[in-house]
Amino acid sequence: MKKPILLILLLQICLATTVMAQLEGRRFLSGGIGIDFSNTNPDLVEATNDYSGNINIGVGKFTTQNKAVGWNLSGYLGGQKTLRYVNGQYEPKSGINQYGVGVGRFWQFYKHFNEKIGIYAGPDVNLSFNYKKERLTDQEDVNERKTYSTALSLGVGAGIYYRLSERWWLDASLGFATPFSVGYSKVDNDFIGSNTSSKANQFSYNLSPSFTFPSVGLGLRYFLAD
Amino acid sequence: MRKLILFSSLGILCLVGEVQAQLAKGTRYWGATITSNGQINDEDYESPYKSTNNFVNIYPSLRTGWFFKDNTMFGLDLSPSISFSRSKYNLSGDDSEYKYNGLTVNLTPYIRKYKSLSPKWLLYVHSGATLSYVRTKNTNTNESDFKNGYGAGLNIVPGVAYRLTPRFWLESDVSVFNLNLSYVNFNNTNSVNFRTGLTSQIQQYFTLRAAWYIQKSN
Repeated sequence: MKKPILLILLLQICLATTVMAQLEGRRFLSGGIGIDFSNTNPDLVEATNDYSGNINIGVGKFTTQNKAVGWNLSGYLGGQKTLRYVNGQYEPKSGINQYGVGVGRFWQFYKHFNEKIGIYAGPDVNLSFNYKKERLTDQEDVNERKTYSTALSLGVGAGIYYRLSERWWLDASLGFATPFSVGYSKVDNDFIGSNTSSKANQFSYNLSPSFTFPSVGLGLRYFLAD
Repeated sequence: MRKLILFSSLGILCLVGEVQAQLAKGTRYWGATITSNGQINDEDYESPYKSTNNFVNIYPSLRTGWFFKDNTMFGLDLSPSISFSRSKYNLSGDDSEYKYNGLTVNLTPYIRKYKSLSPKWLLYVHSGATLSYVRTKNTNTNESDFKNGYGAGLNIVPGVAYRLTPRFWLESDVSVFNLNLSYVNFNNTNSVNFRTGLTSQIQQYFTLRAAWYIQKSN
């Protein structure tokens, strides 16, 4: 009596795993965060630092067993503590000095090695907006520069996943490429010393069939209930 | 028993033949890649001063090769680099213009040796001797000034190739190990540069090249 029950149980587990592997039509949320911090502490002057954080959230859906499409939202925030040389002494200044937001569409093509592990790669289109405020020393003058830039880029990314449970996947990016991008920037220069200013409009493009590998970033993916 | 040995060795021969089939003697090779960037910058100052700066850089590369024996190719690479830049300044109605055109033509005869890892992956070692010619033109409002130079170099770099279709491959140099020696004479100034290394840097920036292997039809 025991043996058939065991067998049925085993069969059920097998069935359950095959059901788990069914991805078509399933929706997921994916996300990752990153934090950077660096500190410089020289002998003679006060310490300065740089910090930044980024977050990205994706919403996607498997349209077939091996293909997923979705939207990606990303944002970052950066700040620093710098020293300004004013009237013969250093004066600290700290605060948020840059931020950015982006939205993109992605397509991912999968190769599932087994129940647990697989790889994916695919193209994406991204539109991003960035703001940066910096202080530059320019010919004995201090230039407070504000840059507002908008960029449209075509990229390719690749990654690997590991299935932690039915609902959760661990995601790791492996490499990325940005073969083509176009950007528009508006730059405001404010020369504090001479009390003058200038405005610039910049248009740039970049075509480069290169990729960066490896580029490892970890993220998590959560599958929504059907 | 003899039959078995005969058939198995025939089988091995077939397998070997299949792996090497991509790179048999007489195969023709073509490779191409391009990198380019550019910018237009328009700047207005509060005082009556305006400036416009534009630049475009184009780096195409085209190479061809012949397999003079199995897994070994002799070829030629032509990689010009072209740069244009133009600056215009206007100070209270006074115009001044500055132009720069730069052209470098690199011609590299090379020998490449292949090692097949699987029917889809190939490793290669690429060694070449580069001859280059540099010509720049500076134009300041109406006066032009030409400068010429030449250079020579030796370069060894390994790489990998991946098969997408039997004829079409993607390849990339891997500068984990490379050897580079170059000499440049430009505007009566000589410079010598030597660079080699086994880099420990894991992250790499790879430039992809499209490659075609066209077998001789016989």
